[in-house]
Amino acid sequence: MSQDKEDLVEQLSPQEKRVLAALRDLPNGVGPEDIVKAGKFGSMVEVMNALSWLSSKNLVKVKERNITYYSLKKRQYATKSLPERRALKFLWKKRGTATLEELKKSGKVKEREVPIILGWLKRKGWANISKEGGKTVLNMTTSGRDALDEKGGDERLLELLGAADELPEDAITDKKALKLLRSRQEYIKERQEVSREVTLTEFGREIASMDLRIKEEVAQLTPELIQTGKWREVSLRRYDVTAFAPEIYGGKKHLRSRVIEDVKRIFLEMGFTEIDGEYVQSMFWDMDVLFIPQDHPAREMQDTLFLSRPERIEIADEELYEKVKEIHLNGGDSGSAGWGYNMDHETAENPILRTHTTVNTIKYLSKHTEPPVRAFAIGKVFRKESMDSTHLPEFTQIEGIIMEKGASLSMLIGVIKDFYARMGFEKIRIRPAYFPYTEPSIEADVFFNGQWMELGGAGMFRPEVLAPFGIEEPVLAWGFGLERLMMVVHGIKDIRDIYISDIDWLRKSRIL
Amino acid sequence: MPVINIDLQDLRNLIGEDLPLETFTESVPLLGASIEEIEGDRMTVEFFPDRPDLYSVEGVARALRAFLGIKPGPVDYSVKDSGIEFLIDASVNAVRPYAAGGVVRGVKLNDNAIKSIMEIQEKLHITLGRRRKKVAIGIHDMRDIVPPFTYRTVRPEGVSFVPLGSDEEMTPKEILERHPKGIDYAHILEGKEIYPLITDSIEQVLSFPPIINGTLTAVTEDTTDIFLDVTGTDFRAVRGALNIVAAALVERGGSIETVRTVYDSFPEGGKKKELRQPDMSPRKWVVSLDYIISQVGADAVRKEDIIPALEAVGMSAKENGENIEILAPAYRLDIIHPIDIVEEVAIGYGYHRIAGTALRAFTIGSELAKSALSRRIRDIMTGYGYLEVTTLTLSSLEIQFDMMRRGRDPTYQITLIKNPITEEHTCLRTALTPGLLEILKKNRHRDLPQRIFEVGSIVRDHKRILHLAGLAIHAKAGFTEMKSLVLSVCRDMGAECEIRPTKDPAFIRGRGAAVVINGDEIGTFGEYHPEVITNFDLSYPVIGFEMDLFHVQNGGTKD
Repeated sequence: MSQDKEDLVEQLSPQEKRVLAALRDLPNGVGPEDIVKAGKFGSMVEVMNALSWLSSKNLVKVKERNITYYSLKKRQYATKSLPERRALKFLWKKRGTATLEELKKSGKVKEREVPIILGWLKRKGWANISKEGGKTVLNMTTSGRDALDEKGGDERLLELLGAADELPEDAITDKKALKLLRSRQEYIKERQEVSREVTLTEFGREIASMDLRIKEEVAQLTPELIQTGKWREVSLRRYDVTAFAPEIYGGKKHLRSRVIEDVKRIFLEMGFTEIDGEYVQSMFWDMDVLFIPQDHPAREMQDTLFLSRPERIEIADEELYEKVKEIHLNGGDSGSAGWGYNMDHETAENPILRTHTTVNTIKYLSKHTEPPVRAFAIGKVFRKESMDSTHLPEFTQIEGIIMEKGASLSMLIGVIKDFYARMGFEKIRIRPAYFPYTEPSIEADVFFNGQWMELGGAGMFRPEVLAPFGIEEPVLAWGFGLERLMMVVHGIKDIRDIYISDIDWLRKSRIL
Repeated sequence: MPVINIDLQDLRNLIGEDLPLETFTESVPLLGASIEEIEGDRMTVEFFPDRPDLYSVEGVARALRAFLGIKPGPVDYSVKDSGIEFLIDASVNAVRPYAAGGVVRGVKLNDNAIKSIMEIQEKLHITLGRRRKKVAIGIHDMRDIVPPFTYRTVRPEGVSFVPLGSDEEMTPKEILERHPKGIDYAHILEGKEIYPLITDSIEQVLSFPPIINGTLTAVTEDTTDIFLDVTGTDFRAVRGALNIVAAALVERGGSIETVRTVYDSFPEGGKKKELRQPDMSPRKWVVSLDYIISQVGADAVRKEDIIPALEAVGMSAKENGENIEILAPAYRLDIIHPIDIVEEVAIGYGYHRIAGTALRAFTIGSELAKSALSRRIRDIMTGYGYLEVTTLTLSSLEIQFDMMRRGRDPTYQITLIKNPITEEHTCLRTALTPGLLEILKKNRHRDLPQRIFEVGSIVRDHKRILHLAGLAIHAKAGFTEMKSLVLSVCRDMGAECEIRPTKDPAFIRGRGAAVVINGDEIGTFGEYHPEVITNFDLSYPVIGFEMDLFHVQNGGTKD
């Protein structure tokens, strides 16, 4: 509460403070003009404005009412006797009786005043008026006699008005006299005015009793103000905190990097070792080793990016080549019937851009043939695709493999459910699928935003793939495309935006 | 992957039960396919390339009958002998060596059935047939032809007949030149001096494989007896395609009869050989129960689940001691290893019924040093207010060299694409900066200053090298800003670097510098040449740096 009061004081304008300070020393019910005087204001407008703000803050109460002011129409009325009094004095000289003719001739009254005199003498009861022998005769009465010694209320009021210039109706106690004078048109004029009475409210009095000194207002807190301690004497201007402020754009990691970091963390938590490899590969490792027959449609020029430089990639391990060739022909010792054709050595040496990260996986497995093995790769792969809103000639594949004693299809389903749950997909649907180098094969759908979404494939490496390396334990593998995941989860409409990014999109992209 | 159009009413008729739509939408995916679209009575389904036997409504009907338990186990194909001979002349060995024939009688064809037969033929041509190169199928109405049939060769203008889709007689040469199918598939016979041909005993032309059939044997709704010919370059695929088509026609009420296919000189061995085709007898596999259970998972299937599972995929199976004996239908070309039987058990049992089990072995995860380095570099660069971008590895010599004012003959080898899709993607990038300049170009209309960076692989001598590059564009961009950044980044990486002048023509002369660590030049920085700036349609000063990170790491840390 006290903080609120201090805040309130601080928010008062200098004028408001000065008015409050003046009111503190003035009685209740003063008028604004008193405040002008007491506070030494330059104009009434300043005070009136301040009062209206203070009143809206409930610090003062301003009572308003209409007051009538009276004044003399002419100044001499204050000193000049009323015509009926002059007539009364004349009668007195004439020992109480005179004719109208005598009065007229006396020079004490003017001709045009005669009817007024007659009327008022009668009304005030100062004289009786009668007709005697064709003459109008005035006879002073007892009250006329009394009136000689004492002025009437109306006359006293005239004097009063003469002395005060102007009087409010409250200052006139003789309402009867006022009424009399008001009935005579020539003497007093009146004027209406709104009167204001200013009183501090109880709260206002509390505020007025606080420190109302007016401090210098400062916008910027300067080192000098801090170092000199002058900040205590100044008032730091309050800002409109709702006013506009421009956005700032700092450095940010690309959304793709952030998603990769998240995925990588999941693999690491699950005990996987990261692997990667070259983009430039031979068809032998990219496809032949994976038991993809050489006439498989995926190997044609329209699906794979072939290279003219290097011109060929020598197969370093001819013994391995022979084993793989045997497997394609008749299954070798893998228990398979094979594909029944003779592999072509030159085709195997064709250089290509890797079509999947599995080429690196199998190279890794060829050197790690004993369980347990857990490895993952996150890397670019290349396909001969034209760029459009959903296709790119290179994209990022995420792949995990497991070689473990007793591994099974059920374990693969278990691990991908675990993996995708860690990625935030609690509901997963498993369907049969086909991939050339896995059997059984799986397609995993995840439930996202109210619908099922195809996310990735999985499977157990075919024995034909593992046999040349003497691997006997099952190898489980699963993978998915990073960009597709990003598009769905982050609402990216055009896949090209990931690689040919709009800087504004990057600047404004969410981190959380 | 092949997409099959299925008329649901036709499918219901073939299955023989009025199944609701939900049954199909639930069971088709469990069979190993994905439903692309359902519109009214049409269902579009994508099947996997290893299951050509499902590329027709007939095949799907047969599979569902077993899978839904309406008629589990295999279809019994009792095959009679037709007495018909199909003679294979030795001359075909030079062009298209393998052929097999078969007869199906008593087929009832309506409009749907004819469409379906054309579709199965087309799908098999594309997939199993490798666009007819490996396998081509001919389906003939037998009414007007006289056996025996002969598969032989002919000179390009040695015969003339009316091909399907035409009303005039044409020679094989004319067909290849003028007929739409001829134009499409002429490449298969390119360079051949003789062409394959199938005729009957009175020299009527049935087919000019793998291009087109004659109108003489066109199949219509009145057709009841069919002669099938399959030719190709791989005997296993030829035989398989014949089995698939014959089995599909059985679903249309037909019964299969064998044809005696007589090779004058069988390609393997060069001797006379006689075969009875189609051979619809099931293929026998003996697989150990232990193997099946351990591969699917002992927690998922029990011994007693196996036989019903195999029957649900149209196979028959019986236990024999430790083993199980399986008979796989002749159209199942995909079963080549016991592991394929394992998958059949899993599908028949239902993938959705396998709950999954946890990993058991203990392993410790680890990140590649290269990854950790990239991560730290990203932290450093974002700390300096740089915005990360990630650009494509595919690029072009024009962007990588010409637009950078750099020569196209660097000291390393550039990886070049043999079959590029566009002129913009003809090589792998050898530097990151050109890609970053393209990003600035795309963002010309955005507020300046812009400061961007990328950490990524470039490829030199066909090997990946981790690079870091950063660019800044604004009206007051100058050398000192970039030098400060480079020195700071090197300091943050713990690398002591030396700055020397460089002659890299990408920079303004005297405003480019080389970064040297341990005597090796690992990168450059400076003010880009106005020509480089305008080559990328930019109109403000651009400064930047690019460096090799492995050198930085090796030079800077004793890792």
